[in-house]
Amino acid sequence: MGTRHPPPGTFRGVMALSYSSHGRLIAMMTAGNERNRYLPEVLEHLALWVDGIVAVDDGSVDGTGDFLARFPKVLDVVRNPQPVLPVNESVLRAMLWSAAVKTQPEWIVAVDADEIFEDRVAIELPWLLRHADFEVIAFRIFDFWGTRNHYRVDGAWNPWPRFSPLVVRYQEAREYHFPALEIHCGRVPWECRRSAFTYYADVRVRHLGWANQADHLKKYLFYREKDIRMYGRPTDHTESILAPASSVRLEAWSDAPPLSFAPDVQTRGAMP
Amino acid sequence: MSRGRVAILTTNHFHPAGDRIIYGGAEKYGVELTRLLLSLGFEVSWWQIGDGWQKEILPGVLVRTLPAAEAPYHTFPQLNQAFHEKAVDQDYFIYFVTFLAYPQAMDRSIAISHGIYWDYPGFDATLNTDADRAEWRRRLWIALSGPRRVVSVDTATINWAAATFPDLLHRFDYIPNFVDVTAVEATEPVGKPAGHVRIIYPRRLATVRGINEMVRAAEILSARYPSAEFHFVGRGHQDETEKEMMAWVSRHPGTYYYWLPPEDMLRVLKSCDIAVIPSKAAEGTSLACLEAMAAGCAVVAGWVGGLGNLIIDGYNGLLIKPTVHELVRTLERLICDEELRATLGHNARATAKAFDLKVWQHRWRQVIDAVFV
Repeated sequence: MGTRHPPPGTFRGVMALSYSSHGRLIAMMTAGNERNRYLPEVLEHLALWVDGIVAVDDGSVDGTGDFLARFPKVLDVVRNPQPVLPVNESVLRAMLWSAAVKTQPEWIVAVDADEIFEDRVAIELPWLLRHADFEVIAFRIFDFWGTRNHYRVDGAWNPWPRFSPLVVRYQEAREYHFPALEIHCGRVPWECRRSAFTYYADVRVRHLGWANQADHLKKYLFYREKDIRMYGRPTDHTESILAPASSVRLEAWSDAPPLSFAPDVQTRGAMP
Repeated sequence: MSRGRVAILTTNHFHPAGDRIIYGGAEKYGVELTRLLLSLGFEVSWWQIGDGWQKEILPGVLVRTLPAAEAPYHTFPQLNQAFHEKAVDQDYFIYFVTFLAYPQAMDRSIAISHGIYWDYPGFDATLNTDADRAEWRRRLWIALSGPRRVVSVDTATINWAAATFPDLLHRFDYIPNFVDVTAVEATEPVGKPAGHVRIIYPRRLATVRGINEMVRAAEILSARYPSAEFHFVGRGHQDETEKEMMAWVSRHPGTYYYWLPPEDMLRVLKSCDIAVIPSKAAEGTSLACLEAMAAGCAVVAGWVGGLGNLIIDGYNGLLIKPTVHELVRTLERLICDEELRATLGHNARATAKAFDLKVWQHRWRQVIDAVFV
């Protein structure tokens, strides 16, 4: 399966980049009924900095699968007739990983259908991927809360102390597996976590999954049920989803200024 | 044929949990020293604080871990003892930080001083009484006198030690830090908008490195000079510091905050006109300062630690008392004087050749040949 190139375009001023200088970067994502949420803008942004996208359509009934399949940079869509996520996330993640590695990537970025990296990723990631001494790149993820301007920082929602491994170097000879957990099994294989050769990137990730207050109750009920089955009771973190506004601490998002040497990228269409 | 096994004891090359490389100047030093030892035919192993994990520092070179519960008087006696018990099959020893050679140093061993670390304001408060201070000095004397040689990255440490412990003067070798001049020269700079003056603070966001003074100076100068760019490039010691910096740059046009891997850092350095090393304490012959010099930056440096070994004021940089007032005055002078920037940068680039990696390797070889026999 060859790499298809995106149509030329810009997204918030960042030109699509050429990736001749490092190995193939494939994005992998699961999507269940995401067509009318954030998926279109997530794909549009991803298309600027990845070579291809592999997805699992997890039993969607809103046309998500067809939408994914039509998107120019999508290389493969695995379609689950019934959603697997509610049953066992680790099975779904393993399915996605298996589809992604078939595209012969050098690097894989695990992104959710409601996450958008800062634009700087298009400038800085190509630099990072040239390095032989990293096998994992981790990022801070910010949970936007009831708005696209503020993210949540109380308790375990605080993004500042947490880096999540999202970009991993695929090594064909290595064995990979996901822990057999119904939820929270991680989106990259176990072997890629806690690697000493992890680079902690300054680029931030905007998670929009909580940006619409109307989604909170449904998501709370999903996680509550999972928690009860796994731990016998809802976790404090799950309970905090419905915490009163008075105990929810938010911080305003500030866009990082584009690096002053980024215009080179925009002019030449490739890293200098 | 192997010339023997060298065991190097450090505190933290990796985070004690083993899940994170702490990549600063000392870690870079450790990697280059390992490469040198390997090239000379030695087998190398590293030991540090940790709970049983082991990882490679370079292909085939393991970092092993040892327990260390306490650090009384800025020493690690439990780590020292555990190291000596575990590394009995080793031939030669390096204490990567001087205080690790307390209370005992193995025969045929070398200790390394990365500079005076006891000049920061809070240090005195960690030793509350005269008796505590005397005990710290006693332990430091033991640590410095045990190894056959003590390699110091600057002369400030040697001068202090010689004044405090006159009997130790001849135990020291001065081997200043290094920069790979060839690599810097081969590095292509990133671009820069015409007419801009790019100023970089290429350090971790630490108070001893003068971060607060530099932030204030940038606030003042970025408002006065729209064509001046202020780049703060380095991680914070705390997440909160990084958060504050990210918020701060969003409020101050012309300021930038990010961090990069070392190789990419060189590309940015090569594009800079001025580098600021406003250290207030705990400084040796800063690798960041040397890289900035090799990159041809006009360097403004605090006069602490070993920075005076690198910068001759007015010739290859400007040495200052690292206060906000002095930073603003000095940077303003450089922003407005392109010729001065060019002269200082030119001389800095020439000076850096005296600190080339090859020179450092040669000097280290002489010490190794004298001790590891």
